[in-house]
Amino acid sequence: MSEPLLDADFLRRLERLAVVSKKVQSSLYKGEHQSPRRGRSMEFADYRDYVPGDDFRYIDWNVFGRLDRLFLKLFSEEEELALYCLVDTSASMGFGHPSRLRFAARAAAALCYVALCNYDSASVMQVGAHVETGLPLQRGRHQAPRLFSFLNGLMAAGTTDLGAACIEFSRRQRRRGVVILLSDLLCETDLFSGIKALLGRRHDVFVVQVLDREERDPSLSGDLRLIDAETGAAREVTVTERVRQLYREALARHVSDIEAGCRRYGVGFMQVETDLPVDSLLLDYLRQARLVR
Amino acid sequence: MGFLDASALGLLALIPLVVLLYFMKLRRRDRVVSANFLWARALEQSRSDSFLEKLKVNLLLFLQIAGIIFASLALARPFVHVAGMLAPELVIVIDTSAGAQAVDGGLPRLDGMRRQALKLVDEARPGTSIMLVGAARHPDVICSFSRDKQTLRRALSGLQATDEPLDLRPVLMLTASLAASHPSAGIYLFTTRSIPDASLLTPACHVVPCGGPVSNVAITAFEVRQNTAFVQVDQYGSPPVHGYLEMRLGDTLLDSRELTGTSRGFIFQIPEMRASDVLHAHLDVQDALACDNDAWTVLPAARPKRVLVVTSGNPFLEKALALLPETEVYRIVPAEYRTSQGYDVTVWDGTRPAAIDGPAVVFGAGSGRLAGPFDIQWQHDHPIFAHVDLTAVHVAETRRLDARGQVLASVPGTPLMTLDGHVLRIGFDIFHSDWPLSVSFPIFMANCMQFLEEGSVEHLPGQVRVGAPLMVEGHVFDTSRVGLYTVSDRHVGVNLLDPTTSDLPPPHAAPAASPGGTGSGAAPATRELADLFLALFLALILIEWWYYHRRTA
Repeated sequence: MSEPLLDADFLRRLERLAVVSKKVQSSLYKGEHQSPRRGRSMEFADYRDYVPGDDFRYIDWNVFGRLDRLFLKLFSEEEELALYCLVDTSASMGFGHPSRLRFAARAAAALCYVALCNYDSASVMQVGAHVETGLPLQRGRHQAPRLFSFLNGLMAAGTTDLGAACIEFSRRQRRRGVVILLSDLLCETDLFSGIKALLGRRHDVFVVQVLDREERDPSLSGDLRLIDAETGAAREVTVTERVRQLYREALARHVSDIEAGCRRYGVGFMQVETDLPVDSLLLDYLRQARLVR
Repeated sequence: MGFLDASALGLLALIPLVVLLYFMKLRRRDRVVSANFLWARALEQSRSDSFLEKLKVNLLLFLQIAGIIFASLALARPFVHVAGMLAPELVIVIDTSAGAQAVDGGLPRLDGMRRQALKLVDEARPGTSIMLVGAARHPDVICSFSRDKQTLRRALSGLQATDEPLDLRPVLMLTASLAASHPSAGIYLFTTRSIPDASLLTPACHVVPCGGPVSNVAITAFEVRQNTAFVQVDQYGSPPVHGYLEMRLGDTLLDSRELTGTSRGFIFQIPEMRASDVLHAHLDVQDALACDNDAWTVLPAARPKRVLVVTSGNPFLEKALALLPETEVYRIVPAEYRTSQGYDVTVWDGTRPAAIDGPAVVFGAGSGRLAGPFDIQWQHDHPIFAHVDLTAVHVAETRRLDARGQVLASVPGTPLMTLDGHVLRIGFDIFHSDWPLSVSFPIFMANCMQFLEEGSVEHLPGQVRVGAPLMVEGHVFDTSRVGLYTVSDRHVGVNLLDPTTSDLPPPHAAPAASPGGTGSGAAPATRELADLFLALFLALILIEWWYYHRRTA
């Protein structure tokens, strides 16, 4: 992974984007995102009755003139957004051309760069059977190289238990933010236990499933012993066109189940293939999905 | 369906081996995949699919088993009896000899053959031209090629067995001739006898043996010499038949003897024997064949035969004639010959007579010379050659004979013996052969004397074999039935006296060497199916190849 994740031209195009959260976030730092707290921004939020001690400057005198009552104007507080990119680094992510992990790393790098450029904070976590290593929330565009370096060094290995990893992440990260899970989701463990844990922490969760063309339409044939890259478990299969068709149907059902679950929990879901250009992902797909604007 | 090489079916033992190979561990290639739980789900779905899907999984196994079956069947050279059904022409030859009268399982064998032939006619395709031939002493075309099945059924229903013995040689020659003139014809020979020589069978001829084991007792010889009658009674098959042999002179019962269950000869003394009396031997038994249970003979005339020998001296000839019973031999030199009046037969030895009046045997007749040695061909069934074998006779030189009358024997290039009326001409001189030293010579002379003196009412024989032509004063009488015949107030016994006919063993299928003689029962002619099964085997190999590569593609 010596080549750069994103080229300079693409980075310049990313500077015009911003990460969007469907939920109002809360932060200790001022930023460009609406905060649930009332603050001093220019954006009107609400009224409340005046109580002694309030700043006279925020009394709405026009209303007082019509109603003969004192109301205080409230303005929304603008705070920074926390973006968490959970990148699945299990062994299955090493498949594909380019590999699913490479694609996920580039997508995560682009998203983090967008966030850093908009005075938001960004974090990258390496997940597998649990939360591996990662970078805590970074602020400022100058932190981008550090994030890129981390993402460039990710290696696909180990098993997957995204449910457990998400639960672990939700326990560690108490600050609300936008959580983007980048994974091939090829595991039999319960993903939605982790999703529910993230939602319980009021994170805005978005799932991006990264697959490759070979996974969707395998070219395997003949009498094979299929070895699971993560568990090492072997299964003897005589792959015929009929079996390939059944595999495609099984994969479609698996993806459909995940998508339905995401819809049920109000979680954004998107499936992409590794041969999709990352700029298309950011500029077209994620914009349509209203993850960025 | 039958098999020409059933041992090839042993290849079927490979089937369990193929099944065993399928049970053995299949060598599989290792492939690392990102996750195989989806493949497991696909397999579960595949296993829960319909029976047809399961069948598809094992299709290769079934194809291989079918391949082994087809290969072994092809090597076993199966055949079916279809050619007759497919042939545009059909020749049905049915044995109508005395053997067809044999009661077998309560019914005459002819009925069984008739039933099978009728089935063949019914199963023949519309438009098939069918010929019906009866076979006894000679083949007899009962119905020439006809497409009218009703006519053929009527002809078959009206078919009657004769009392004649079966002579297969002319029948097989006829089938060979028909096979040559009608190459597409299927020929079916329904017979009660086994085919002795497979080389006479043509490939188109299918032999259908008919009949099972039966017990029979028969009179096979009946002769009278002076006041003594000799009767040979033979037993055939098992269990032996018991009963009585009765001897009658006219209507008078002379004697009755009990049969002991074995073959033996009986001698009866005839106390008052008069010329032209009829002696009747009768077997009072219940056996398979009735026509061999009676024999008749007419006692010979008291006057002995008079034979004139015109010779310069031939001790062999004179000795052979002197041995004949009831015969007086007169010898004169050629220069003294005037006429044959007063003699029954004249024998010319080495002298060509100017004129012949009356029955005569001429040795050294003809003209020119032809040097031997020769391969002699003769008519085995002619009465003159009864019990005569010329195989070992060597003739050094013969004259060329005109083919006048009936040629009884011949050598390459010329007839050797001809019969013109009552004159028997023999091309060679006795001294130019070793025949007088053979036992067949006195038998031949005895046959000649008996045959040549026949033809007049006065010299009617006492008995003849059934089917043999009986010529009396220019008329030929049919003798196809056993019995006592009356010609101009004189009697002639017509007897079977044929051990070959009376012996009724179950006929067996034609020898394996015969291409067409492998069948049994009423099945039609054979057609090999090896090509068909070989083609199926090759087709299976191609399908298997295609399916395997499609499966692994």
